[in-house]
Amino acid sequence: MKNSTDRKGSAWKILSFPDAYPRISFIMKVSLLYLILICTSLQLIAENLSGQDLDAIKVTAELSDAPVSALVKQITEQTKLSFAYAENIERIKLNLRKGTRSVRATLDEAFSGSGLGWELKGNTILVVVPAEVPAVTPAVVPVPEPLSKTPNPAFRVNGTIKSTTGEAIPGVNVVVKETTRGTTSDADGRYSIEVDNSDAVLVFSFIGFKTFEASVSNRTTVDVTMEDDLATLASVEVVGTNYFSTEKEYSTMNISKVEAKDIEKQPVTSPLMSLQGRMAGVDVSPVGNNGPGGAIKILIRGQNSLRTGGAQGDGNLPLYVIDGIPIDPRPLQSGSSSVYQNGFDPLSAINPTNIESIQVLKDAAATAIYGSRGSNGVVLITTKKGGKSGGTNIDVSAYTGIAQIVPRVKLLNRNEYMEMRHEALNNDGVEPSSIDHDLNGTWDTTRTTNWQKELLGHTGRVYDAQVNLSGGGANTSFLVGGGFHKETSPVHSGFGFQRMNTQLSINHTSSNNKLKGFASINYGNTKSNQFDDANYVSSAFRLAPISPALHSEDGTINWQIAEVDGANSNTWTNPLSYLMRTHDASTDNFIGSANFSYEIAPGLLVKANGGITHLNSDDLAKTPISSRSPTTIGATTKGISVFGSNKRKSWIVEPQISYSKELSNHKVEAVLGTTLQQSDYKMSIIRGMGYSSDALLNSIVGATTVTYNNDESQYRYTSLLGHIGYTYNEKYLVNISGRRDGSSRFGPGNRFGNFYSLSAGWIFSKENIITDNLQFLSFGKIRGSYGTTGSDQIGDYRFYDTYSIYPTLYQGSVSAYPDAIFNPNFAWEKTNKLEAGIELGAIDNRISLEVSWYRNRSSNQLVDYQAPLTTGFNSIFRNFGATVENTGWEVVLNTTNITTQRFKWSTSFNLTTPKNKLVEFPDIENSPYSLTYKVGQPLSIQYLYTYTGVNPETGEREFKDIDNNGAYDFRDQDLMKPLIRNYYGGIANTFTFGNIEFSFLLQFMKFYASEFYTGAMPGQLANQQTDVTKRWRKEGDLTRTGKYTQSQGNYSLFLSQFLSSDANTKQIEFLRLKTLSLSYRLPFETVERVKLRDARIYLQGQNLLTFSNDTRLDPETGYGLPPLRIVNIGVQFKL
Amino acid sequence: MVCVSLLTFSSCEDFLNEVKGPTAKIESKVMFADDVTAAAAITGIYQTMVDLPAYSSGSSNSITYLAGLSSDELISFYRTDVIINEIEENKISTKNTYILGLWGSMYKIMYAANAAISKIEASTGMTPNAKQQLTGEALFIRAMTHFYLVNIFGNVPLVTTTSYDENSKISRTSESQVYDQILLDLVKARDLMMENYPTTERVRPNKATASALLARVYLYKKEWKLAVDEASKILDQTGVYQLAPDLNSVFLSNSTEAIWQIQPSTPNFNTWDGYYFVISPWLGPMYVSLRNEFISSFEDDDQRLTAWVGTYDTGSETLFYPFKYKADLFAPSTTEYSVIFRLAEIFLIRAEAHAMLGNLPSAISDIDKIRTRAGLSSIADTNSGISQEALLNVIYHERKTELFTEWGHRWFDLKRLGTATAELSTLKPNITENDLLYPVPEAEILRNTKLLPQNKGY
Repeated sequence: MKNSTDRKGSAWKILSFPDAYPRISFIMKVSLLYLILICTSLQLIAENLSGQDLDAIKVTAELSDAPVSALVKQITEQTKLSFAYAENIERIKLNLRKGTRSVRATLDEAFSGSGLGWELKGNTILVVVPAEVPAVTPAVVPVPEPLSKTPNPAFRVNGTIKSTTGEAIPGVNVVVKETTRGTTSDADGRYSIEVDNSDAVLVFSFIGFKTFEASVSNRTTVDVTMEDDLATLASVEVVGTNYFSTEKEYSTMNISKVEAKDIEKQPVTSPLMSLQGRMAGVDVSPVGNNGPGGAIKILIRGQNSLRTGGAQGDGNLPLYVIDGIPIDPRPLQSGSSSVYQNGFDPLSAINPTNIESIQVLKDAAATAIYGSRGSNGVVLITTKKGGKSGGTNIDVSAYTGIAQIVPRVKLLNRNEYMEMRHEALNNDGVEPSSIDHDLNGTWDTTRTTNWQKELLGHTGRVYDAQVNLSGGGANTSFLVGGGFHKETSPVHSGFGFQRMNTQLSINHTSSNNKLKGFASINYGNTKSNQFDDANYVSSAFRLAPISPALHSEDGTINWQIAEVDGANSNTWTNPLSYLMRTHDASTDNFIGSANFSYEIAPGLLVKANGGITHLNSDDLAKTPISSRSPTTIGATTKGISVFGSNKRKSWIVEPQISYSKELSNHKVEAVLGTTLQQSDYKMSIIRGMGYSSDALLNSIVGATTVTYNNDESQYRYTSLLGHIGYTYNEKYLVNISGRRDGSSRFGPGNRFGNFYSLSAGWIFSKENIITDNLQFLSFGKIRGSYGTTGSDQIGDYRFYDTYSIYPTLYQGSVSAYPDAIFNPNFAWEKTNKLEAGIELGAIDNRISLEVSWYRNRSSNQLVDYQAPLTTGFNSIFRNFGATVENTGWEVVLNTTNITTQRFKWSTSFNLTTPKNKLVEFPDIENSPYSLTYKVGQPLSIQYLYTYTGVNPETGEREFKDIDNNGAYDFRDQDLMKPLIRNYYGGIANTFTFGNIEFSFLLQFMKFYASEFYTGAMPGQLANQQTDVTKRWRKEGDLTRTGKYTQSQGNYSLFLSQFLSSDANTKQIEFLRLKTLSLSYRLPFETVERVKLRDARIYLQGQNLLTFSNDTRLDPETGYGLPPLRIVNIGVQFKL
Repeated sequence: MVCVSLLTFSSCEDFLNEVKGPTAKIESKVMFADDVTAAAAITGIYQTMVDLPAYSSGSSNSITYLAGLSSDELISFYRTDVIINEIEENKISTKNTYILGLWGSMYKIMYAANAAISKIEASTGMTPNAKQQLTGEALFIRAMTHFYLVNIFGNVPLVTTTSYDENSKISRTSESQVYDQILLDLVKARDLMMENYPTTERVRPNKATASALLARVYLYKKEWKLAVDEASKILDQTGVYQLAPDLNSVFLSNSTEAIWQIQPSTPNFNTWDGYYFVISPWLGPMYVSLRNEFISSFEDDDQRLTAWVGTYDTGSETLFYPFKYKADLFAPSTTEYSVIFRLAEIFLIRAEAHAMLGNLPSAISDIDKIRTRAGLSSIADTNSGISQEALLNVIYHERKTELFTEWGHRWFDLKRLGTATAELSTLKPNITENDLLYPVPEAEILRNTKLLPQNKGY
């Protein structure tokens, strides 16, 4: 038994025995972390501990004819789990062979044959007597009958036990006072007990609730409502890799975790988008102009690699692992030139609603076990799994909503625009030319159109539904689910995206608990159709307010044809033509995984994980003839179709041996394993040209000219991995991981690389000096890690000297060209990661703070090293001698601000301050990077002209001419501006008031950005932001905004100087109301009436408000398609 | 599990070694293992040459187009293209992307040629005959590319290997030394290549092609005697090469005048020259047209003015455009190939060299071949006593009217004859001697500071 000053017995551990709670109830009122009342926790949305975690947490236990309390004692001393059970089952004797097992195995084994069962409720393990086994009958467990005080005959009392919020409470101890007769309530909160007389008093007790006594008073039905004890329970957060995991408290790793309850609050299409603003060190951003299903940009702890470009070669992608199966993080290449030019999201088949948790592994301690693949962090996605023993559940979740683009660019109105144009021509001293359609009488100057509203101001719709059926018996559990997601584009309802996904998982344990098997299948299919010309979005800002109407009077597309220089010509590009260029894509994504384990001796497990993935995509980008003005349709312009196809297949097998052993204060865990992996990739792009009719665009044979491009590659990967974790006295933690990897992407002789990490932690709050003197400190740990990781994300076959074949013949024979400068000698790149962290909990963990500092240093990087074109190519693939450093601080603060019986308010805050620096670059002066990078500065440094403002005499924009030679070139670009993130983070607040939960997430960021001009110069035939009206007008005007002008000469200067000056760079700050969610759980009575087990309705908003000094459409995506404002209403219920 | 035997990691090595090699690409050792695939590596160079944005493509990035703008031939209609306007005005920024593209495409082709030269030499599977011909073709491409580099940029990096270490830190070589290498390569190429074309059409260089460039180089280097001799080697082959009697058939794929032409890389495509120069009646002026001053320099009854110049009426004025290539890029079939060397130039080279040597009758005989084909009076008939200086002026003028908008002939002639600033100053009052060389692209200097100093005036 712990006393209340023992840290371990306090909030981190809450409860061990029913008889413990009177003593610790005070402490429990102010508990930390996720404070979830056991029975108000809706399993559907707030299950803190998953079945998987029970497999991960290991305990050592031994029982010999011992009561349940002995088992509970042993488990609670080693974990932060809590138990609930009826006292009367204490009589049942349990036996368990000494050994270290998972919690699940320990419980299953201890209870086997006892007639008892267990289930997980929130964080509490409920020891139950399954209804079908009338275990608590005198026949099985003789309960001594006390002497009756009254002669009244015995009779049965029934009733239902509910919480103040109306939910049934299962597992409540019901004892007839002053007797040993007792029972527990069933899953629906019902109980039945025999009493000897009508004066009997029933005592209802349960963790987290005030013990309640009720006199029977001749009633046969005694329904009770139990009040919360404000005893709140800390969750046991389990973190880890798919090779080993541990409770967060004992972890020496830096891992961020987001769970289903937070993921579900956001109607996002890609799972990764749900991480935005929620994790320190994890920078997730949408890619401008990428449609739904397109790749998302994720940077974990900054840019390590200089290799940023292209689908094959981005060296900054993290490793994705879904249910233990690694997924190639490279976007699937698209044939599109515009909307999906960054490719398709390889995770698009996963419905975010179906995710149990996403963990992001950041430091060496966490990522080194992934060796060569972990240098940019690891994203571990765990999908939802089947339920625990007993019962069948159906979980239904559905939402629908609307999506909009928020127009926020302030543009010139018609009068301001016309004034600009007239003034520009006047300044330039010219008359309107034949192509100044807005001034030479060709266009109707009385028209005015708000193009932002006209082109972007529509409303899209979002629909989403997911149904999961789960259940199982004592040895087998399963989950079968299916989901559907559809969204239409806010640009035009004809465009959209939809996804169908299904999943199946089965879990089986042999009855002796030694053999275990698990398999899961996730399959998703997405379809998207989008417009394939990003110019549509920029048209909204560039079109003059007086531009012609979209449609002619007869309803056809209006090209506003007029005679210009002797030929009939379209006087504008109708933005609808961009929408006529379409891109249709579909992806199929299959992930199957299986794993088996067998305990050959106590603590010694042989395991094998395996998996198969198939990712396919097909797409078709069409440029129809009708998207061109009739005046440009000649013999030369015909329809074009591009057919793209990608196939990726992979398999992985990972045999492992794990061993765990505990000897007095020493605890050791070890894993040894190997990996064998193969991926096959196939791609083809077929380009058909010369289509004479738009009706033929779907057919390859309809093209008069067809060109082909295909690629095929195979990748093999193998490794030997090991991990040892050692804990002494539950205070001192040491972990070592190592891995030797071989990759076929390197040439013979360079194929193998070694990676390792060493980490240690000290839970100092367990030291007496702390417990005695710093009582407010409920938890304290310092940890540190160091290690190396690597990357082989370089694309296949790069060490080969190869020629590619031209798609067309020359003189009837094939012809070929060299692919690259031949370099067979590149080797593994490595990133050294150093990390230090402190984790503190105060006032019984109502305040918890985690501060981490990291330093990643990448050297010997593999890059497409810039080369002068005299080498024949613009780059060579080779190891790069420079050292790049990413350092940063990450702060995570979670607080429970208010917690009363009815009201709870908790806050979660994270902040990251990343820094990037080029530490070392030998001989940079003589390298191609001498004027690109600078030692001591970030990689994102830009050399810019210094804009000195407007010459008051002439109105011309002027720049610092450093060498005073009157010409502007690189020698004058000495102003260094780094395009960096200064900081980013998020604040989430959750308020719970009875059945109502209200929460919101604010995302914030400060960074440097460039590209504030859409490319047009103020004065040209294109609209501008209103701030250009502050321009120079006449001699003597002092302003920083140049005069209106439209001359080619000035435009040339505008492009080459102004846009390369600091005037086009800005420090941006934004604060975004990323997510807002309001939900209401229906009262139990209502739910019961409609035969449901649980129901919740909610209203959510995404990207509702953005406050920023950025004048572009969106601070994250500039002038591209911005993150959508989505408002949706949804429902979740459980049958 | 192969790798479960943890102790013997060599089995894992086998697992990696057994990975499938590239299949969609060809390893270079396979590429040069036999004659057929080795030839593919050479014809690949021609495909690269005719594709966008190669210097030899005839597109808006090509020598033909850019040098036409820099001289007095072309004027741009592409009003919003600042970069093209810079070239037309001879005020080129060092950031000009067309110039960077021009430079880059030349060195890309150079790499492919150098790679072929060294790999053919190392090949053990090829026959000696194929080795000779293909090495000759590659050397010829290298020489030709250096020739255009040196004439456009002046001193340029002389690249004769594929070595990254060398070529990434290379500095510029003097014009005369570049010419030395060009001559070395050309003589070797001429000696290695066959007299016949390797395929039925004239789309791969032969001995005569090397002679054609050699004759031109001798002319540029004022080696008049050598120029006459080299030109004669081609002109003597009257059974193979004849001036096309019809001006409209000079640029056809089966032209008898062609010494070397390249085949469009896409089936049913024609030339980029035709695509960029011909003003379509549907589209109106989009890129460039011939300057009116250039048109007025033609003699009145010059048939080239009608056969090789097209007109387009804007309503307010008549525009003239180069119409040597007539087929639209997307015409139903390929009828025209892009001509790189043709017989008319060889006559003009020999005429000029003869004239310089004082062999006026021979010079007159050669120049009259060109004049009479164009429907003009022959010098022999009308002015047989012409002075050497006047005859040279006739030859220079014929070069202007015969070879316009082909491969920068006009621009290079103005430069080599030293008349550029004088002749162009009426059109371009601010032109200076410094403008006669294009700048080394700034992007290249940023990546290799050894390319400094920049050409004068930039």
